[in-house]
Amino acid sequence: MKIKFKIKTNECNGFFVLKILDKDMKTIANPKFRNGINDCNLELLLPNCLHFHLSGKNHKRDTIVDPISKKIIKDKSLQILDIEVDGKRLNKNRIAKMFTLETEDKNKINSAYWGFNGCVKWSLDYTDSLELHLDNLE
Amino acid sequence: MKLLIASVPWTDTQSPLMAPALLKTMCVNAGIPTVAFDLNQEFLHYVRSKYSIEEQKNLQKFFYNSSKNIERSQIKDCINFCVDRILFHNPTHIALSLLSYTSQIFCEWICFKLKILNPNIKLIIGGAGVFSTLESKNNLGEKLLKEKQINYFIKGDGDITLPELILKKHHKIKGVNESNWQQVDNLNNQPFPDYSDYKFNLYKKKSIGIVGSRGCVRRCTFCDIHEHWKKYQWRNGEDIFKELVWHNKNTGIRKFKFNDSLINGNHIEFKKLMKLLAEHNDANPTNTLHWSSFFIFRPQSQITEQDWIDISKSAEILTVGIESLDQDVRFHMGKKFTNKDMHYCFDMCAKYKIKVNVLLIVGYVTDTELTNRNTIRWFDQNKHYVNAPIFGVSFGGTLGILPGTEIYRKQKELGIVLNNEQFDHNWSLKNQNNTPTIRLRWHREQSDACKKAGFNVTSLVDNFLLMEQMMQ
Repeated sequence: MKIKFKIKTNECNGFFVLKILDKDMKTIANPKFRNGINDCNLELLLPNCLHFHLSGKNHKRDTIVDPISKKIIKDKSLQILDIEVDGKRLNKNRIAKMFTLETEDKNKINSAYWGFNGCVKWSLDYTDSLELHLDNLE
Repeated sequence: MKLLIASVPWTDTQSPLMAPALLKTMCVNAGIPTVAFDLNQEFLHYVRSKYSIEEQKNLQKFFYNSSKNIERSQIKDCINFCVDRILFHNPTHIALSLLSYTSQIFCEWICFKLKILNPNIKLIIGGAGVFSTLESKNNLGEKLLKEKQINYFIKGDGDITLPELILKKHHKIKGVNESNWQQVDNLNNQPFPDYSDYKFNLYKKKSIGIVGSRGCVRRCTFCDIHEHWKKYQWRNGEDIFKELVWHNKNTGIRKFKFNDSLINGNHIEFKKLMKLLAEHNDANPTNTLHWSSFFIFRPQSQITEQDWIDISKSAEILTVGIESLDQDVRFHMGKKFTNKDMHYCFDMCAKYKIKVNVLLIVGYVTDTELTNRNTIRWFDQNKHYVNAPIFGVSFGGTLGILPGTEIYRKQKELGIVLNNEQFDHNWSLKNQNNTPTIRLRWHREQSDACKKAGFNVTSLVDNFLLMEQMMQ
């Protein structure tokens, strides 16, 4: 099965380090990001489980907050914008809800916007990509 | 090279869908090895034999609107059944025919699976269902083309375009991957549809589909047929008769179903056909030929009693888009027959034992509580038409407003407030009591009154699904 991720990266003192591992904890991708939107292509066998390991963020340094408005003005982060499975896109609303990031201090954040070091597990317990699509309809 | 042509489920029908057979004959004539079958019917047969009524309903619901809470393994099984049936023939090219929007979701997943299993197969989709969108703003063809799930979509006369496309006769073919297309000039003397790959044992109604015309002579305000067929074209009576006899000789089938918007658009040719059939049936009492079709009622000056006698010799069921039993509403719709004309036609049909299936729309833009009450009363006052000639009354849900129709274009003038741009059933009228909730009540009251009067009320499953959606 072919998966293509469209990932938006925001730089703040460099980028997140993302490592993608498969069900055997073998690294299958270690994308090098540039600012903006990046493609990441994977080819894997099903059933599988993807582990997205996020590291390299210093939370004191890599999130800059405006001292007056208290709004974040710069943040080292990743956002999964789009996923194409065997050439067909998953529903965007679904993508926004389908990932849970477990942070280093064991907090769970349900979002496709990743702004903490930690791990996202995506279980692909399917025999083919049709099943995956059918299971992820909005 | 091998072309496979298949109809895409889900169309609730007990009769063969004609498009694959028609396309096959044109492709074979162009020298393309072709298999064409009615996948829709094979699929219906499969689903009915494997799943419970409730499961079938849920599956249909899914393929209608991707609804949730449905056993995914069953959906996968349905898609795999279709894909396996297609790939069994090892085609290099696949043409999928979509009769209506109810085939869109199925088509999408069939194409997806086919592209995974064999990315080299050339996938082509066509038919009115590609372009009658339910929710999407783009047509399905454009969407799937953009997603690279298909290679081509065809708009318009696929019987001409498909062989040209397969053989790549021209660099650019009108109607391929674009909305502009050219209607064929002449429907006469074309080769007849080839049903040889159809499994006729699957059909409850063993009939053969016929095209006698394309387009429509009327311009009903709620109908978008002129978006698909710009001008009305017809075949002459002799040519149609020749085809009926040819199919009868080759298959033994004696029943024919016209796929036209109306069989009697060209009244002169229709009369010729009726005369030929009447003569044939009088001369061949053991091999009579019969037809059913959409039909328009006309004034007595246009359909004489002798015409009705001729019609009665071969007509099985006339499906008539009465659409409203209120004359004023009907005239607003663009239907050009009075109540007097309607009763004349009903009386003639009753006298000559011609069955009529009446189509009605509930909640037209000029409908009111008064027209609703009048409709309810009509059923009670016209009980004498039960079974003779009115064999069935079909309420096509409540009025949906389609882009490309007169009422869509005149929405401001009519005070229509649309809820969405595509085939909107949730529209309302400004400052008037014609809302989705009211229309649903009218629908219930009218169908109850119709049943109470003794009429046989029918409705398609997709209408029920639509109304269920409206109630949510």
